[in-house]
Amino acid sequence: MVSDHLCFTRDGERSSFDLLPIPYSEELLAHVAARVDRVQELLGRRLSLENVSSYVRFADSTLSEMEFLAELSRRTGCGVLLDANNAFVSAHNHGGDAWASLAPLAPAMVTQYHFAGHSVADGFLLDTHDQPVRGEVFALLARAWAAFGHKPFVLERDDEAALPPLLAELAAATELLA
Amino acid sequence: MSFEAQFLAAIHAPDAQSLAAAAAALAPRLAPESAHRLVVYRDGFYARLTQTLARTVFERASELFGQPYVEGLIGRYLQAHPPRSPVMTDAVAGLPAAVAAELARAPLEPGRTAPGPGRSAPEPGRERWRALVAPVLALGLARWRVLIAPDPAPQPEPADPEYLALTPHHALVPADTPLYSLWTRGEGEVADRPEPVLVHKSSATTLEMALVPPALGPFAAALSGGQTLAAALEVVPDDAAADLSALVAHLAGTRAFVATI
Repeated sequence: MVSDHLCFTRDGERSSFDLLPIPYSEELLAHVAARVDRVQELLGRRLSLENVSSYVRFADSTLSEMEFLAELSRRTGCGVLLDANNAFVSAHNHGGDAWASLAPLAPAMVTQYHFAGHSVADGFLLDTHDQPVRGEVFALLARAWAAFGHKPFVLERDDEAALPPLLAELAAATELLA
Repeated sequence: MSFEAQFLAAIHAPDAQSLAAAAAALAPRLAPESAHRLVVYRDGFYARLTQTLARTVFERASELFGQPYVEGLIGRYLQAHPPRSPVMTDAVAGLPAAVAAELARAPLEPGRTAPGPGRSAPEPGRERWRALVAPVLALGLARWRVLIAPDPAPQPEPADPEYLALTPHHALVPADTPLYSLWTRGEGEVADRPEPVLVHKSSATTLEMALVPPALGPFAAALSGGQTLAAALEVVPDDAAADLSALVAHLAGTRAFVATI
């Protein structure tokens, strides 16, 4: 599977070394859809795009992130890589309900799941990938699994990682999704 | 200005005043509650970049001088020189020289502010190593740049010095301090002598380092400057034959030479 994030990272010369949200507008939808079409044509296969964690929203956004991804999938045939932790983090940071945010998605769109741990700082949830997966994220993943189907899933951990607890988390996920 | 450029200006803001100005410029494009949240991205940017560099490119420096201290050096540098390149090593290309200048000017100041995790001065017993901080940073940077360079080609045959040159993907790190000893052996066994280091890659994931003996400094410089092995041999003093044999054997045995034809 080939995937990337629905985001921007730089402005031409400066890099953020981060996955930054975009305005979820019709204008950007057309812009991104054209590029997804081109990438899929070049690769000769389906591309999946992943939702990111975010801390800001744009005034120009007329769609939610999931509405944007779902419409992108309808227009281009691309898949949606659903990151349960990112969805949870973003919903918390923007005052929404994580499960409700996934409503625009359909089973045929979702191609893979990611889940991870996050940190809490000053009331924000930060997608740090350096903590155990929280129960709420496991629960969201389980609901998505039931609603959108059994797809490959990836436990992400970038830091503060030791193998035994990671294997335990993976086993817990496997049992939860069995 | 595009929203991307405005967002990046906020993320790269080196201080609170710059961040406030960038956030004000971007505010009309953000949802009402979002402008003050740009600090999350900005703080994360500097903290993540600082920590990542301290743990990777400058891992050895962190081991030798303490990670909080190295993070402080990196953090101060990044604030003064916000990255203009997506290549992380480019973001700190000037760090060794800046640190050398800073340490030459004044004693270490543990209280200086820096973005990122905590900071501290080196332990008092390490004060004598101040002259080694910048060279160790330079060697860390050089090693990383060589590591991400293209992989070495197969060793050329036949090995005629007229047609052999040092791989362009190498680094000669000058040092008038015992850099090689400190890097390879650490605290307690550091001789007091100049130890320039030659770095190249012998496989996709293996870096090779060679101590350049003082008498072979011109030879290493000639090789590093692109001269053939035969030409570089011309500048080797007669009394350096043993050192020369060892260095050339090391370079030849670790795929440091490429064919020039």
